[in-house]
Amino acid sequence: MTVDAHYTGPTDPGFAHKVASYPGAEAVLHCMQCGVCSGSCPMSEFMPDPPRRLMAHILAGDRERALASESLWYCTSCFTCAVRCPQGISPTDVMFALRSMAMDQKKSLSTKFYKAFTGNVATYGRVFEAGVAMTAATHGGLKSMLRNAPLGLGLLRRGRMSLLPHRISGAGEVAALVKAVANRRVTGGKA
Amino acid sequence: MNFAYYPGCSLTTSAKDYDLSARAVMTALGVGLEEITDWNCCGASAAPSVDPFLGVALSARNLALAEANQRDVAVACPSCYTNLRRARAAATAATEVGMRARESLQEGGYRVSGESKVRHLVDIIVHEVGLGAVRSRVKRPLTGLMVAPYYGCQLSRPDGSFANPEIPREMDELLRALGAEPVWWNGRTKCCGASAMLTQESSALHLVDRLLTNASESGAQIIATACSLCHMNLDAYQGRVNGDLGTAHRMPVIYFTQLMGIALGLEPSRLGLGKAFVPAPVLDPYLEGVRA
Amino acid sequence: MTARIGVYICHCGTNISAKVDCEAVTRYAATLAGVVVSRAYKYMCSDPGQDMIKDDIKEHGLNRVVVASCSPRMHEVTFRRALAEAGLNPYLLEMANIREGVSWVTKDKLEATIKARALVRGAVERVALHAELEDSYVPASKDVLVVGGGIAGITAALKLAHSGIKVTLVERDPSIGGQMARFDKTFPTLDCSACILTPKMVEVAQHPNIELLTLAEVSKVDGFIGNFDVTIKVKPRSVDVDLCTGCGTCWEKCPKKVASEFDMNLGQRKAIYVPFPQAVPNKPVIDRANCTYYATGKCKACEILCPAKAIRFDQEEQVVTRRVGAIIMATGYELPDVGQEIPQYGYGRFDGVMTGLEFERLANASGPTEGKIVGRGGKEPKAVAVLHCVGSRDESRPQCSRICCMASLKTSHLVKERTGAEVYEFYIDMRSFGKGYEEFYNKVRDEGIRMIRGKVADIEEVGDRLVVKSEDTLRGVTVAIPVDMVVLSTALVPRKDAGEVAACFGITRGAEGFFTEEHPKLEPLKTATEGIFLAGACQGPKDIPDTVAQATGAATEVFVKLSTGMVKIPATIAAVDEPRCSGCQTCLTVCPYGALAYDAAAKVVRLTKAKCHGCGTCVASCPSGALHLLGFESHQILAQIEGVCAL
Repeated sequence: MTVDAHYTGPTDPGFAHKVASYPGAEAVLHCMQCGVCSGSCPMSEFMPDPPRRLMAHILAGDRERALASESLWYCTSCFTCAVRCPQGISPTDVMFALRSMAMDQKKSLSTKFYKAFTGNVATYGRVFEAGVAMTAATHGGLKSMLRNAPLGLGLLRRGRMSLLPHRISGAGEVAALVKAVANRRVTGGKA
Repeated sequence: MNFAYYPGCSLTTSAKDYDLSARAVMTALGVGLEEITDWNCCGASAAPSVDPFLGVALSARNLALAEANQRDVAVACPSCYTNLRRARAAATAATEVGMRARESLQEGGYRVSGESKVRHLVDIIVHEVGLGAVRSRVKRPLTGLMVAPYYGCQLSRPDGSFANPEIPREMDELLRALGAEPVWWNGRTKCCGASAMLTQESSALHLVDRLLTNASESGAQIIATACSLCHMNLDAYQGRVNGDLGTAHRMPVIYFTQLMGIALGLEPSRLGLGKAFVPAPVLDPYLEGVRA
Repeated sequence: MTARIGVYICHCGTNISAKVDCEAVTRYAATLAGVVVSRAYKYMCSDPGQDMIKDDIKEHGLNRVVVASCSPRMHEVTFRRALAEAGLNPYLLEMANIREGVSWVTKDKLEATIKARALVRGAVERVALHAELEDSYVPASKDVLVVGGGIAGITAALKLAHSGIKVTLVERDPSIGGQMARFDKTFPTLDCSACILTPKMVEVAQHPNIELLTLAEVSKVDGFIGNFDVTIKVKPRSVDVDLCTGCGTCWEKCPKKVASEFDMNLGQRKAIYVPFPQAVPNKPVIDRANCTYYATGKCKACEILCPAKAIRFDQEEQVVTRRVGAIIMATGYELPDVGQEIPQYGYGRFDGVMTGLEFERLANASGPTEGKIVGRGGKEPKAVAVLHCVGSRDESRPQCSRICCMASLKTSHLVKERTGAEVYEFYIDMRSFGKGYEEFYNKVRDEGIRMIRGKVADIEEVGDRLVVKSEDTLRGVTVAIPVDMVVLSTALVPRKDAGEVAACFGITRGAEGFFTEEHPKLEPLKTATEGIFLAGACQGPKDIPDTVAQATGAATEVFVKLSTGMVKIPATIAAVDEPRCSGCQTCLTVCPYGALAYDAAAKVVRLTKAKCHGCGTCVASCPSGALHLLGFESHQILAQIEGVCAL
């Protein structure tokens, strides 16, 4: 007897507990879907899934939907949700957790940006702003580069842009630190 | 009073004016800022997005460096501020996160005990220097200047040092001490979009538009900010807001340290004035006779 | 004395015998020293079962009994009675719990049987060392003190008074009535609150068995159940109540206006005032802190103009004492400091944001606006928001305050009915649990009140309106709704001084600060302090029906305890071996019930038996071994342990 596909259970029943293992997300299983996070979030109206619905996906063990949601990449880390959540959940930190799990799953402007940023830090110890901005600008092709050129030139003219990255003496230590963390990285996935 | 100064990446380049004015003002107030030798990037929101433990580890290295010199850390950028504070709590916590952070740090030979506290410039000025001391040093009171104090996000959230994180008043009090008139506006603790200006530009532009509109409708002549990213979004992108959304904003944005510098009678050249995109003619009366 | 022990193994139907081989245990017990009779039976607690014990006591001259069956909490009383009826001291019984402790929790039958044997052996070795003990009785006052004159206190007082008990009802405000007197209507019936409350208030004033003390507070409580000595401070009304006719001339003519506490500071009263028209006692009181005469010696308008010459400026505070047998706490609740706790809702900063109680005063015809509902700018609102869970279900206060969902529905209904405004109710869940409550929910929705499932994120002033922001979670969209009035259904919290009150009476409070009941499920009206009972919201948020039920129950509990005029003190309490007591007083510091006191003259510690709960903490703390627990002596317990381990 086959089961109607609409009534299948969670794809990853332990997903909520995995998310709860991240700092700030410990109380995610207490979420009562009150919606204060969505109501407070400045990006809520632009997100396909407001923060509350993302929590619902997590609670339902719908790992796929949670990690595929574009909402993850809208969060500005303003923490308004975190200070207001009545259950003491930090949806901001839930977003960070989900991002880290989804980072390798898709290639978008956001993933490129974050990887470029941290790549910089791993190489130089500090971020090379112009370089990261270029990565973002070039993602949209020539049109985007042209659109952003005046801004770049404007900053350059005002002495607010460096054309070369600055490498700290301890860049090697920072690189090692990044590696050490990566070795202990929680994938939150099948590994 | 001496602090280990953590400028953060943006203050070395795109927010050079913030760095200049911060150093000038703190010196004038008698607060020593010794830049942490060889500090590294705190990771901003990028590192935690790749791995929440990475954010802790990166910031913690800087705490270790500050602790080696037995100094508390003074921070200008609210994002660095939040990351350093969270790292300090996480790296010393008896939790799994803390353990992982300490293990990762140990590999690099670093130790964080939490001795060095992390303080924002606003916090230091208001609570250590004191508004009375600021008031007594004001040479050019900003009388009649209607300023919208823009607290933004990470100055008070998730765990800042304001008495009331939902309705902070410290920057208002500071502006009043400078003789200026702080304006009440609803956008005072609302998000500018931060780095979403790069990754979700159209949404962030809307956020900026609403802030600029609200500040102007509330009677502000200028917005004072304590965050380099807020400054960038509100000022450098103001033209794009106007272009994309058909608005006509002409709202100058300034770092609160620059306003302080003007009021304290410091040399304008030391304050990085003129580096913003939107001109601020409303400041001219206060710079009369001082401009080179 | 040679022990002659009877051992009885109960099958408890199949509850025990399904796992434990009862016959084997019975055979085993028969081999133990001192055991004269060993039997098994299907239902020891039944009449034939008990008769078996009684017959054996007589026939075999048993002087000790062991019953291996269920938990003593079930049938210890039953079997003790059986022993007593057979002429044996009831404390010569020991039970071995082989049901809850063995058969119900052990999977393997052999293991269960071995455990049962061990427990039986322990019981046998112990019971041989049991001594005869006697319960004692002390005479008890049948009078009762009720603290608090809200609906809970009023109900308890009336029920007791009707059954012939003398009640002293102490209320700190100038009038009884409590929070319920402030309401306009009550859910779900929409009864006029004052209409159903005031007849009871009047009855309290008139009932010969009730002594009503208003402007009064308990300052000291001494003694124990049946014999509480209570000290009450009665503040001066500054009015001779026997002469006063309640004509109202004084408060009409008084020139000094003060914010009215009864009106939640939304309206004003005079320095000499009656808090509300139906106040009981309906006599004015002078607020000396705000009266011109006490500040400057001038004015005296009330004294000059009072036709009955009833003003008494120099009336003094009185201190009275009462001896009572029981105390009922009915001190009620208050609202939290919402402006401080949830600043983002604008309470205290924005005109037009109010609490539920403040709304009730606006809606009430005897309130500051004579029943006109006004929002921002004192104008009738075009749109109103009613918010659930303000300060409840929160990180700092996880409790659900139980009644606010219904109160919110009531508020919405009243606003809609009186103003025709667009009403938006922001909720997370709808807890309409009581009789008629769900029907009321549907009625309110039929009236067109818009229900939005979402906790409000924040409220802003935009122009002359208030904009309420939240997510409509059922639709997954954020909404920002401009309104002219916001009513916050706030948490119900313990009174600010609940801590001091608890300390004064010797009762405890829970994590949320409400007074603790003896057992959350089975004893909601008693406290751990014998003779002190709880009624109403001081024990936890509740609505009027539950309050009345609880208050009636508390009255019954009192009656149960005091009706005989004697109070029983169980035998299994502590005892002081005075020659061994060094007077170190360590035991005093650990006794949770204040049952021990140091007699400085005799240099020993003495026990107030009626206060002792037999917890044994003092026994464990005594370095000299001078304290022991009757029925739970060290040598008895050690023998039991040896018996269990001997297997």
